[in-house]
Amino acid sequence: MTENNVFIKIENYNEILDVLDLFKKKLHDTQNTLDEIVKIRIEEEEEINSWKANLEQVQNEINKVSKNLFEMNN
Amino acid sequence: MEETFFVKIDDPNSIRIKLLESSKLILHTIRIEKKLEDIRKRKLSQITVLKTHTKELEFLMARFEELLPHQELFKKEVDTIKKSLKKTVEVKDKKVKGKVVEAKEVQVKSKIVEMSKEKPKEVDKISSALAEIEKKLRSLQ
Repeated sequence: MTENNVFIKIENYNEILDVLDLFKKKLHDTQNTLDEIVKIRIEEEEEINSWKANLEQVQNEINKVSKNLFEMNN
Repeated sequence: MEETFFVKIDDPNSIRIKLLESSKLILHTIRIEKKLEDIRKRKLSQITVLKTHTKELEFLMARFEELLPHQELFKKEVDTIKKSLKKTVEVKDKKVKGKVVEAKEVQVKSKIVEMSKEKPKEVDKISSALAEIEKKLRSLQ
């Protein structure tokens, strides 16, 4: 690859700087949104886990009740 | 007339407690379900925001590329495209002269192409954009 000098018009250069600045800001916003999504996902996972734990507990209680009744029948 | 039988429950309180606890847990579960609905709504709205950000980033990147001098890059791009075209023509010639195995390969490739045609258009666009960027990177290296 030959290395030649590249010149940019000054007005383009200023606009490039503006675009870059905007790009950085937007990237920052995107990162924040992504962080928020990750947080929400963790929250969702926690809720699903407690849901699962609750159901398991209900199952245990019902099993105990069923066992009691069954033992009485015998 | 059928006779009625009764079964004695030894510890009715404990059974009652267990059933009440189960009801309590079921109510908790319903509450969690409502929470999950809310969480999913929030997640969807954040994903929409993320999509908008990505689109804006794409636009800014395009503008950035527009502003940068691309005359030199364009020439190089044309050269690399010409070179890759030459290579593909050579490969095709070899295939015409080639063996049955190569013919099978072509069949498999055509099947892959058919399968890729079935993909959504947006994915195709993104993949072609990626390929273009990769080409540009290779020509610059």
